Amino acid sequence: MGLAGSSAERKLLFRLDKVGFVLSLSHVVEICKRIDNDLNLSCRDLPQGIIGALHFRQTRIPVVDPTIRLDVSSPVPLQEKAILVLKSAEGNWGLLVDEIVGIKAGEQFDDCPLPPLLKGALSSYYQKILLCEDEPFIVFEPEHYYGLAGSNR
Amino acid sequence: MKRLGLFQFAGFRYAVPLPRLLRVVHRCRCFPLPRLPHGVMSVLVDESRLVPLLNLHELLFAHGAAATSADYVVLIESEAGRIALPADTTSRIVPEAKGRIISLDETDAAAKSGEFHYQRNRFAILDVDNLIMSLLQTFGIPEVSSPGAGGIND
Repeated sequence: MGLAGSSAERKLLFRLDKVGFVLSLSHVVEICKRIDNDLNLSCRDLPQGIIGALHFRQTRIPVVDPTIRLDVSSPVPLQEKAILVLKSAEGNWGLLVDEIVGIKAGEQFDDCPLPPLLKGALSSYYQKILLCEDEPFIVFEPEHYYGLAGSNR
Repeated sequence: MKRLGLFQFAGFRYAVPLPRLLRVVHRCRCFPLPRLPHGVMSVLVDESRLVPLLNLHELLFAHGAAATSADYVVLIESEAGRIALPADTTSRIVPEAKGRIISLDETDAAAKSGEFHYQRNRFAILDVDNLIMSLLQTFGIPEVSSPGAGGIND
């Protein structure tokens, strides 16, 4: 089992409901653990997964709820969620998550291919899973949720 | 000497030939994944690889009354890789010679290769590869037609 990516690359772990995800820390601009009144829900584009706009550094950025695309039912009230501000070619955007688990070094993960039985059914939603302490974490690919690639899904 | 692994799930009895049955795990940690296809309950991690836990009841009877968890999982090697089946009672391994194998005619279930009669109970002998084939055929189809296979009820 090979090591997943560069061992120097740190990764951020988060959850949607009970499902674990892992994201390269290089995508992350800031972690907003409290949403407060900075999220404006009147600007939404649900077909694109955008549930509102976040006031962030004197500008407004779109906030994407990945549970829509992944069909995950989240038990966490909106005000208790966190937002990860991510960078993309189109500018910063927010990713709504249920829980921030923490940050770990890349060397703590092992590659874990999708089982042949599931590959066909899941590959249009996610393609890679890493194991950390015998728990699977889905590799979150931001480009599938926001930006030009995301708009073509 | 051929041997069969016996287990029960949701009130039905099943048998799997021993070369395919790898082991039984008690209170296995299972993980949900988004967008799992019909017939897959969750996944578990075994020897650093993901193993799909199949919803046996849903696959065989084409309705969603199955449990979402199980006390035991039965790990099985199939042509499509390792899979897990749920079980809710302790399994036993018995030689075929201790019971009687009843072959099925061609009209019987695709996922069942026969019945094993043992100590006044009847166990459906699962044809794991055919079960996987029927699962693959149902991927992407919300309403699955029953393959006609069934365990043997109490």
